[in-house]
Amino acid sequence: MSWAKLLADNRVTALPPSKAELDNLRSIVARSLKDVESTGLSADARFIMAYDAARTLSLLVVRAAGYRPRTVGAHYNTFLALETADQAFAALSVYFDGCRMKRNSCEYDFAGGVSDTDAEGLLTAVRQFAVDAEAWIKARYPHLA
Amino acid sequence: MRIYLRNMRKLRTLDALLPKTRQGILAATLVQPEKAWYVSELARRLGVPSSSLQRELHDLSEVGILKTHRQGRMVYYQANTDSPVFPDLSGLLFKTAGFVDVLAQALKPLAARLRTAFVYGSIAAGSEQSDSDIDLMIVGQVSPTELALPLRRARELLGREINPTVYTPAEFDRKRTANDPFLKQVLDKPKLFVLGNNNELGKVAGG
Repeated sequence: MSWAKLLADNRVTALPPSKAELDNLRSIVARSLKDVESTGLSADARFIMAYDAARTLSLLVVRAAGYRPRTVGAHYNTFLALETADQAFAALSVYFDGCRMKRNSCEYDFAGGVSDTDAEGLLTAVRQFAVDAEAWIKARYPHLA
Repeated sequence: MRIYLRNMRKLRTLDALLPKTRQGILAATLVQPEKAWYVSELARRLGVPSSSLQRELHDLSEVGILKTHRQGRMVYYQANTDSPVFPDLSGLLFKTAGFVDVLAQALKPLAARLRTAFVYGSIAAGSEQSDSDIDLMIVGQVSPTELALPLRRARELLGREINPTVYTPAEFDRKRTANDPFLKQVLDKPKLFVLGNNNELGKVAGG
């Protein structure tokens, strides 16, 4: 997938980013990663918070690259755009998109469908992605780091 | 039993019964009976030239296993659910060349670390809709991230979303002992095993 294709398919728009905007996204990620450490949360709740952090981190990368996902199918578009920003994120993008479906199931279908293994797996991936995403931005867009 | 099932998969039961191209056509059409395929679409899905499908499609339509309809210049092929052999044939295909096989192939690289894997929910119960997800439970020492790419390939082949839930053997045993409501509901309802069987499910944490 290329940016040209995503633009043609109306999945993203081109929009210059600002550091202030990215810092706001960073604060959302920090909040989700702090909240997920609270004790007594169900695996479903931890998974949803970790997913929110994954999506916002993906958006951080996409915005740094100068694009914004369209609001219709925003989550799916965000993960597609993450893969487009750098193929190094392709496997992560596929994983997060799979998590999108599970998150929808536990938000809208039934409770308890997330195991501790699912929640910890996502959280581990997100924590590593938080480090990798910042390194990626610093290397390519130092003024946004 | 486990050895028998593994050998059965290695030999691929359906290979002994049907040639590859016919297997592919039947798996595609009977596993998704609501979908009508045009020849080039089916050829792309099976990775073969369209010309190699014509004879098979003709024969399967002649005996009423498939039905056809024309739209403009295109001829569409679809499972004939009114055929008297449809229930048995689709059951066979589902359990062999159908989604169970596709999932087993997808999980194969990780199989040594998996204790069991099975499909539950509407598809296992035979009450699925055309857009139903495949709910897949996996018990083993495997990270959910490792499953993402193999399951995406399976999703593309099956044309259905796959929703995996992963348990370590310890978590599975702990929640089963505690009568976890979700797990109890899953275990009490129909399952289609991709790896292992009911007997092995009973001793997941032990081995």
